Order: sequence, then structure tokens, then C-alpha cells
Amino acid sequence: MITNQQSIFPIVTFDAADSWDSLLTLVKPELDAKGLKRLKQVLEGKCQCVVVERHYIDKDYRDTFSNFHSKRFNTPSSRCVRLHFFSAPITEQAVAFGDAAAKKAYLGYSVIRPTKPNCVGRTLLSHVLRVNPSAHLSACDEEVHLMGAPLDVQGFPFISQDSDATVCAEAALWMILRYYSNRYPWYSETLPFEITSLTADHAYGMRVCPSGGRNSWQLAEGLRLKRFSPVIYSREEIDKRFPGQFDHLLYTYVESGLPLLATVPGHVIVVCGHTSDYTVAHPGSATQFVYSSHFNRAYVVHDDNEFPYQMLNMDGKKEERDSKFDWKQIEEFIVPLPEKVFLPAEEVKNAIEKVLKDPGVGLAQSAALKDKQILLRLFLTSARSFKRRLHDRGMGNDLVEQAYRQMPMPHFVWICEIADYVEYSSSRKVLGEIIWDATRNAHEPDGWIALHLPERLIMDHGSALNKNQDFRPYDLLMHNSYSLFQSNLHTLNTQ
Amino acid sequence: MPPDIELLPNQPESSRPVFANEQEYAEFRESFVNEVIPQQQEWLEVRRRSEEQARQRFVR
Repeated sequence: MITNQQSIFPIVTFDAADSWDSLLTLVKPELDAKGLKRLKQVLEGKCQCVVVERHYIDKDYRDTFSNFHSKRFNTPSSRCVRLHFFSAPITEQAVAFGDAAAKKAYLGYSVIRPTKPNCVGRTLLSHVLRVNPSAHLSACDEEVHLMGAPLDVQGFPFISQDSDATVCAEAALWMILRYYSNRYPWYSETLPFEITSLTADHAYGMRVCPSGGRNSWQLAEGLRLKRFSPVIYSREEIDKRFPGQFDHLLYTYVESGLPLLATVPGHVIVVCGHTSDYTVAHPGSATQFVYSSHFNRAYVVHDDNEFPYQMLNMDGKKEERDSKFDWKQIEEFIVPLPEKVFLPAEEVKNAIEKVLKDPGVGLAQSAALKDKQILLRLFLTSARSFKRRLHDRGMGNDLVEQAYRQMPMPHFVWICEIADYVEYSSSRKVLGEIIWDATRNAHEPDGWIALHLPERLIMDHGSALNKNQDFRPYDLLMHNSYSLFQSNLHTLNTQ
Repeated sequence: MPPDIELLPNQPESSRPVFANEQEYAEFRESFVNEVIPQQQEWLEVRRRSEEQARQRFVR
């Protein structure tokens, strides 16, 4: 059923008379069959109603229109159509008057641009639409205004390339930058043509616009110019020296809530989440411990040539909607590290392992961990997020919770949780952690802020008070396992 | 003069020190430097080569 067909805001409710194909007629000429197919791949079965917002002025499209499309002899419209998706039938009154059921049913929006061959512009769809319900992913919030009423949506931004002013390189950069500017005020909003122009000083004779593509170093440079401190990892180079570590590092950054750029042959995509399978066997006693990365099975990706929340599986495409790529095709990734993270993941891993393996202070000191299959989970987080969840998690002992709450910490900390694999795989509970200062350099043995084992807490009072290392040990007379830290990524249970 | 700050006031420390003595602590730090720094240097080289490759990797 289509209501208000001649108005600015027609509403399509899917029923026997009207389906997704009705949108093709209603949103002509902006929406084409290719664009509709993309939307259906993520929304079909979950969306029952679409509000069409005609004559929408989209800031991102208007930016490329002003800087590129308007300079053509035959110019497309400067306006777009925005589609708003709902999980239940709604009415104009329900939206306009802020009805709670309409707000609850809101699944997000997609701007349809008058650009060919790719019409899907700025899009933010709720992360509940993820293809794999068990996936964990990064998400940001937006308040959307429809007919004057505010609607909220939480997800990861998506945009397709227009193949002129932007190609996959700019589209992928836009998705990462929009996520950060939506989520953190430290990062300013960046419009697409600004992204296209970011590499103008490093074009080396290449055309900037129309964009013919970019090399991945230019992508990293674009991130640097937007206040990040990016690091580039090449699979080929890492495999030569440290086999297996490329996939571990990629997982560690994604688990830290740092969406990143991954290059596959000739193309770049955004990795914004992952899913693990803890029924996979522990590698056994041959290794002293195993990292949680061992159990990762797929990444959640935004490929600008496809649709949001695709799964990129370890062993390739399994279902129609999966990414056509597999892990081994990820040749390289670029992680946009925040400015104050001086210590990258591989360096903190080496440092932490040195402490944990030390017979005098490490895991061997804990009777409770003896004969356990140890699982380690390494991630970066802000001290603010870590402290905010101390009480809910309990930290196994009141003293640990109190100590961490009192302790001055750097803005970012690396945390390596210590768990018994059997307990972790069934209940996601941990037994301790080591905390490392992310502002240290790789050569300092002083980065170790605290080590919490079931029987003992060791705190560095020195660094906490801006002095030399001064370890203080405390006995923990009673200890329980406690829930793992969850804040970096969103699950369907924590929305 | 302000009093010394204690992060956990009135909380007794363990009778078992983290390191038995200064020498053990110094040995730990020395072995950390000897083991970890060569690996960090290797990673530095890996990242440098990754950046070199990134200049050649074209995406569109």
C-alpha cells in the first residue's frame, strides 16, 4: 500500500499489492535496479515499511555536486531522495508526533543520489540488520529528523563510490572518518570532496579528480591529515618474519573497536567487526597460552561495491550475501590509531608475553591457573571506558575494583585479559588481566601498570604518581571469575 | 609539605615482594631489554617495508 503518493513523504507499506519493486517506480529516476538490489540484500525480511523523503538536500552529495558534478555540461539534479526504513507499518502521524512504536521500529536511512552507476549515497542502517547476528561490531549514533521529529539510529556508516569524484578509496575513507566524527568530537566531519582533495599534495602526477584511484599509502596519509596516527601492515612482509601474526593483529585492532581499511586485490574495504567460534578446539598444551584471535572466524565488512554488514569469512564465501573475498586475499591493512597510542599491538604483545612468561612474576605464580588451558584476549581501550565498567564486572575481588578506580591511568591502555579457556568459551569469564600503558615506547620495561592474577594484584604506584616504577603487591584472599570487558564493540544483546 | 599519596590507604601489602631484591629486579629489566628489543627492531623493519609496499598498491 502506498499512502501520500503525490506528497513529499510517500509511505510504502509492503503487502500483497506493493513490494520493494514499488520503490523503483516511486523513486525514479534516482533509484535504479542495482541500488534497490543492494538495499534489499540487507533489509529484506526485516523492513516492512519505507518512508520516502523527496527533495532531500544531502550534505555529502551536495559537496561532490558543487565541486564536480555541477561542472559538467549535462548536470544531474542537486537534490536526492532519502529512504527511511521501519520494521513495522507506520503512519505519517506516528512519525510526525514522535510515536514510541515508530521510533522503536526505525531501522535507519539511505540517501539515493542521482549518480550512475552507483546511486546509494550516505547510509546509516541499524546494526541489528547485521547479516550474522552473533557478530560484534563498532557502531556510532545519529539523530535523524523526519517530518520534524527526531529518530535515533545506531550503526556503521556506509556509502558507495560515485565512480567520478569518489572511488572505493575515498568511499572507504569516508566510512571510517564519518564513524569517528559521529562518535568522537575530537574528529571533525569530513565531506567526500575534502577526502578526494586530501591526497592532492601527494598525487605524484596522478589526477585528483575525476578520481582514478589511490595507492594505499595515500589512504594512510589521508588519515594522518585527519588527526590519526595510522600504521600499515602488509601480509607478505609479516608472513616472512612472523607467520600467522598478520591475522592476529588485524583481529586485535578490530576487537579494540578500531575499524580499519583492508586492501584486497585492486580494492579497499572497511573492517568494522568480527565473529568468533569458541567451539573450535584449543590448540592444546603445545603452546603455553592461546589468544582469542585463534577463535575468530569472520569479519564484518563494508564493501562500497556491495552493501553494509557483509561477512568476510576465513575460508571464503559460504552464503549468497557473504563477501566474495576471504582472509588470505587481505593483502594489507591500515589501522587509524589515535594520536596518543604510541605502542602498536605487536609491540605490546611482545612486552606482555615477556612478563607473563617470567617465572618470578608471571602466570607460573598463580596456583589457580596451574594446569589450565590459558586464553589471552588483548585489546586497546580508554581508561575511561575501562573504569566505567569496573563495578558491573566486579573484577573478581573488591580490592581490585577499588585499586583500579583510584589509580591514575593514561588516556589509552592495552589490556590483556587472562582466562581459563574452558570457562571463557562457555561463559566469557576471565580470571585476571595485565594493563600496559599505551603511551610507552617499545623499549621501556616500565609500561606495566598492573598485573592481576587470581591470588595477587601487583600495582605500579610509581608510574601512577608520575615517578619511577614502584611495584606494590597485594594478596587477594578471595577471588571469583568475572565477565570480560565489553565496550569496544556492540552485540545484539548490548544495544 | 603535603602528605605522601597512597593509592590504597590502610591496605596492607603482601609480605611476599614482587622481586626478592634489587638485583632480581635489575635482572628482570635486563632480560626484558635483551629479549624484547630485538623483536621490536624486527617489527620496525616489517612496518617500514609495509609502508614501502603501500606506495605500490593501487586501489580503485
